[in-house]
Amino acid sequence: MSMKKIGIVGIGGAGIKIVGTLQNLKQAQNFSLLAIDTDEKTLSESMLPEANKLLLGFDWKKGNGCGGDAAIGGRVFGHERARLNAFFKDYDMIFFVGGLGRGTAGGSVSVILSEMNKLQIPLIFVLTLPFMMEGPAKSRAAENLLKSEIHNTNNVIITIPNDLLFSKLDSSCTIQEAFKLSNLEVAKSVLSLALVFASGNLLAANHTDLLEIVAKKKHFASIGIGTASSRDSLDNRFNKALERMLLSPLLGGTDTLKEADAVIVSLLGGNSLTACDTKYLLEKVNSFVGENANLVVNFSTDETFGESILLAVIAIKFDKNALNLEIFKETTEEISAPKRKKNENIDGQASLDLQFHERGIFEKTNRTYYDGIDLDIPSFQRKK
Amino acid sequence: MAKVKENYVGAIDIGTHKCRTLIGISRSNGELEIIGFGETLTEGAVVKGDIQNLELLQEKISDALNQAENMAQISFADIYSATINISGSTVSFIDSIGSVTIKNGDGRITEDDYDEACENAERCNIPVGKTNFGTCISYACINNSKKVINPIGQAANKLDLHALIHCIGASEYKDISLLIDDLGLDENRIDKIFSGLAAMYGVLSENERKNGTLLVDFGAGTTEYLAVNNYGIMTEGVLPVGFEHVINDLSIGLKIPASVVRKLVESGKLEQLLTNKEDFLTCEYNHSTQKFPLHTVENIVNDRLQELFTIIKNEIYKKNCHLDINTGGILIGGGALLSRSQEVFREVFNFNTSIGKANDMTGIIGNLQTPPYGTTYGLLLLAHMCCVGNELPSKANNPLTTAVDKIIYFYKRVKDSIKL
Repeated sequence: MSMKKIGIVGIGGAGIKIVGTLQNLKQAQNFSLLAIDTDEKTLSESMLPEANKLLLGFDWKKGNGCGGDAAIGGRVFGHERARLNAFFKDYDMIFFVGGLGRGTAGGSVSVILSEMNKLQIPLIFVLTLPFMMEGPAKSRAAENLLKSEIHNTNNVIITIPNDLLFSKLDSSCTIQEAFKLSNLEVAKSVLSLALVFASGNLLAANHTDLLEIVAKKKHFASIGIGTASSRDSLDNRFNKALERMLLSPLLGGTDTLKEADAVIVSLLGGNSLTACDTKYLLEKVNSFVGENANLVVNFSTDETFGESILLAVIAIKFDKNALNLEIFKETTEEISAPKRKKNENIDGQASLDLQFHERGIFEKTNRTYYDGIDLDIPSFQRKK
Repeated sequence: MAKVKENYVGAIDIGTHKCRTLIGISRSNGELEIIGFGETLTEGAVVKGDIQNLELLQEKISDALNQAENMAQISFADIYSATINISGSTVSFIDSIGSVTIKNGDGRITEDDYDEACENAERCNIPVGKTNFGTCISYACINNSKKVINPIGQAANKLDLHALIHCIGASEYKDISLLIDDLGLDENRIDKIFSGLAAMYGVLSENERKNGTLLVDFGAGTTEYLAVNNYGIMTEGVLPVGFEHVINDLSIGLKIPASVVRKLVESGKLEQLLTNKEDFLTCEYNHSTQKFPLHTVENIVNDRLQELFTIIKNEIYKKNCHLDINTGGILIGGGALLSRSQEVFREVFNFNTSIGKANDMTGIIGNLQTPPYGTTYGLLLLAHMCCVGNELPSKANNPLTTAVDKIIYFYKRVKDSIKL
């Protein structure tokens, strides 16, 4: 395994449960598992070492969480930038995992992105979208966050709809089992991605490739993971891995691959991985992928894998309506008001903008926006 | 109303800082002679190109008209053809294509085909709350392959006209109409023209319009830009950012009132500092002499200018129009008087740049042949072109005026259609 220090951080209740599931997976021991929340109770229930936990906003919210309000979540994270900075500064790469629809994970995204960009740490967000059965309010909150915050950023944020699980759920499956299965599948997906990135030594998984594909585009991702070991017989292990990948609950079936706009295929194996085997497997995967899809392939070896192999596929489908809207937005953004920024007043909560911008003689005139920037504010002030 | 005097033309140029009026006479030999000029400060009636106080603006234009009328000894209301400029934050441009299949027996494109293609181009979706006030043709394309300046008379199966539809907020358009009415002028004889288009006619030479030029009018409240190639306008735009923003930036950065900065600019002290690289900018303010280091002032000015020209550059590159600009860039407007503007313009675009001024002017010239008056003269020139029944006085001497004719034709025809 390479010496990269990779962290997997669970944010909020759902994220911490996923990280908790990861703790039970053997290969996750190579990574630092961390947890962040605004709710003291959830954090205390986590089995992670105390040093790996970070409770935010205690002075303000007294450890009671942010009540499902992403705006409050955002402000809590905003106030705690220095602690976040200190908590993450030693990592080479960080995976953030959480569930959208409640306050902490959704609200944290923009602050974490800005802090990680400052620290120049590559990051990947894996966010789950709530089950429809969790109620329309939660789905709506998640949808709003996707529109306003997440898909506008120039970062790798993979959103996985939990409802994909229904393609594989048994009719007798209880709600608890469904959530447990969701956590397990997301945990396995994140772990696979982390393994691929950690041991990129051949045709390496490149953070920029992912960035190129998903940044600033509203999309829905599904992840398929297939593993096989020598127990599946050396000749057959590739077919087994492929079969298991195609049956992954969070992939949503082979149709998902066929309809995807972009597919990232990663193959990780031991030193015995041969060029012919790799070619065979990639050709097999390719046969399930649509003709026009953007296919990104990477494979790596890691001696600790021995005869085992891991096949991970991320299928990305862009939201065509959102793409059209983005084009419309580009043409109208000069005359439209910019979205509310995090540091502006929301719900009467006072906040202090440390950089004071003046508009001088244009104070009482219509604002002049270009690409969301107020051109009436002196250029030298905005440049600071 | 007195009898309309057919060979007299006029122009009203509403700017953010000043409004200017010109009266000219179209001579029988096709020349245009300026016989009257008026200029007043708008004093806040216009902000960033948008009318903020219609009554005050009417007063200011009346003063400017009086000055021009006294000089020309003719009432503006009696002149045959006049133009007024349109600019501001609500002005926008829509790329449109009008197609027509040629069905004539001999397969030649006729004027009717051309007009039909133009009408089809105008049938684009105008945003809600906006009005189309003119159309400029970028170029004509025959049979999806051949780009031509003048397609009329050429054999073709299909004609596509690539056009830019000029739009403005409906209420802003109505304000201009009300203003003309309040001034006691006849709206039927006044064409409303986009400032950038007028500047193009006022400043660019035949060669520059043919070979491809970027024209930037850096005014007080707005900056208009326009890329022209082969007599067609490839792209154009307005940014509600002008030299007032430089003044505002300096006022905020140096912590002195904007009026003091304005005086420094008008007295030439700022230009002197930046050109001669003097150590300090000194000004009298609050009963004391204040000194500001050169690099502070330089940085504030440079940041704003670089940002402005970079935005224009990005817009030009977005439309791939930089490939059409072969002769370089021309900077006009009040902001062009600051030599630093010229330097930054050159640095950002990295091609030949120069300062523009009105072309081939005759009559009372005074200081009209300076960068701020390019648009005003262009407006007068357009009124002169429309002077008698849309006939271009110099047509006989100019073999390449068909495209020009068409642009003017469109402005007049669109105006008529709006009235209907």
